[in-house]
Amino acid sequence: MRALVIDDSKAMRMILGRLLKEVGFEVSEACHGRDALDKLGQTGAVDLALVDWNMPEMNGLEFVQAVRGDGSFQAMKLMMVTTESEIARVQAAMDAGADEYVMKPFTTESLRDKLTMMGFAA
Amino acid sequence: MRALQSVDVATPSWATVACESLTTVASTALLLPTTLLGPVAPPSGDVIGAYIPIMTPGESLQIGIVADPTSCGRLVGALLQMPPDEEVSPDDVPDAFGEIANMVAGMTKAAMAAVSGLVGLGLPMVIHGWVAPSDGLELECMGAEVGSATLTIVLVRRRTNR
Repeated sequence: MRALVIDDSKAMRMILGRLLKEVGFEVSEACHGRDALDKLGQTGAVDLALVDWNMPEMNGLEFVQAVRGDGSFQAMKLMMVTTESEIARVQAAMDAGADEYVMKPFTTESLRDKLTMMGFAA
Repeated sequence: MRALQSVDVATPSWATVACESLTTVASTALLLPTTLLGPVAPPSGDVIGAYIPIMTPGESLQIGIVADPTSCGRLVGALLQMPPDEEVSPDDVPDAFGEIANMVAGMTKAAMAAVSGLVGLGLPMVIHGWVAPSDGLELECMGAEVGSATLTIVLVRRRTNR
């Protein structure tokens, strides 16, 4: 399984990457949406992308819209992991094509539960 | 049929909500207990501050977390789940400290959304040193102990619709 962690915070990429590796993912990182699209263009689709919302260059919502607008990435699972927690934001992300939504701060257990619900069991 | 009684529901203050958000972030992401110390004097000396801008139709705010380098390192070490005896790299501090402030500001923004009509959360800025607010800005400082770290939550506000 391959995962891409997209967050402008190196600390958050480290925390999320560590957890995904424990679950069995091979993990790569991107620091904003544009960087992530470039990496996907080089490596092809991944099984799962964890996507922050507020990032420079291209934010998480724009990334989700771009991925869902590209037929070659339709099978990718997208999980928003963000401090944006208003219902309207969650709805906008789900409408754009996100599969799951996790609000920061999160516990390791809650993120593992979400991964299991998405079919990514350890 | 009983008459409905009017209930005086006070609008929560930004400072109160920011303190509650810090407590949640500390227990969830840092796995540390929080003791809130109430209003304190503005930070001084050798400090690091992580600030997040929040824009509403009625005011502009900066929510900041300010701490001395030792406390800052302890908070960052907790976020990164490092062993207590392992020293945090100075290169990791600005980004990780900014992420802690980002989570506190995000929770504060969400809690205040209903009463403030919020429009946006900005990206973190981390500054070494204390930046004194200029005239016309309202400053509020709340103290807290998170684990063995001491910090100050700083709110700087400028009202645009008076």
